[in-house]
Amino acid sequence: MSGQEDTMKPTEDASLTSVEREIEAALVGLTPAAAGVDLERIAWEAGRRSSLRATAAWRGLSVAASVAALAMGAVLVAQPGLPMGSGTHPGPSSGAGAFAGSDSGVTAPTPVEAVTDHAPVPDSFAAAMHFATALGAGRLTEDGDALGSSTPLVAIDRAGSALRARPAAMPATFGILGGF
Amino acid sequence: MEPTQLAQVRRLFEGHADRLVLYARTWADADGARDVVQEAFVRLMGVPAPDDPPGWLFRVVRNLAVTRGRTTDRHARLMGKAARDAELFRADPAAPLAARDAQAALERLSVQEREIVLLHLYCGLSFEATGQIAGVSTAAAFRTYRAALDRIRKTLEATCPAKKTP
Repeated sequence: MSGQEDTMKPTEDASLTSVEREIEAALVGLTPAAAGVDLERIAWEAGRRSSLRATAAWRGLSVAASVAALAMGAVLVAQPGLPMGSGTHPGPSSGAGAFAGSDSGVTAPTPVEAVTDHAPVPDSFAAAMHFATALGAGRLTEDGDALGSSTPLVAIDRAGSALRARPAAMPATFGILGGF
Repeated sequence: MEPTQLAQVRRLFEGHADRLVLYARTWADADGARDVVQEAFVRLMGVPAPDDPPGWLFRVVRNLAVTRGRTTDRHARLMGKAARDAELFRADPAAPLAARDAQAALERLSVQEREIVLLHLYCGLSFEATGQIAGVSTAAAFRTYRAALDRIRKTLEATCPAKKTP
């Protein structure tokens, strides 16, 4: 630091009187007391704060992703006009019978039966809110049903028909949320 | 933090920590000054390297110490100012001035005078840099410094008549 100090020395010192210089010299001769500060402790504290910042950033990101996923799921569910049964899934109505094993003895219901055989499915928004509430309380079963709920939200039978019923996007949505 | 940055912080710490603590004592007691300096270095490690690290440290220490000083003043009144009595300088029999006398003289200065004396004499800053940190012009910093030296001389003459300066 001596080189740095040399360049920083004031030019005004030349105008000090001899008495002032003497006082100055006497004061400069004193050494400041030890700082009593530990660099290792400083580094540890800096590292702790850095990790806290990183955790907070990830937490914020996960919350944002959760909200976005929830909103996306709600939008998907809230569109009753979507042709959910058409095309992509080779359901029993398509004639292929891909999900209805003939040796299982289970007769594949039509999509309409899959929904109406069980308790009535709540409307889309209520279903989304119910899922969110149940998820928050940790009460979802593997089937996507809420524990303690007498009315399953989505009827999934072995034929898989109900997957094409209205809340089809919800298990995937909450699968993402479960990752957080 | 990269090793080069860590090495730079280590150099700054070894070169400035005791001076920064001394400077922080303008407003805070001994414990408060240490806390303030530690906090300043922790913040330095959490930000991109500033253009002028020593100047940055002095400014951060000043801001933190001023804030801390408000609490310290209340605390000192309650605790009989014991916390403020910690020594500013190392006792050195070979020094031309007793550490206690110098500390007593410095404590009789106003806050601004003390700040400028500490920044210029012990932190090695020019009057221009001192003025920037203290928030006064270069000329005002120099005038304040001279006035502070005069007051220190008078205090020392009153407390140590044998060492009276000509």
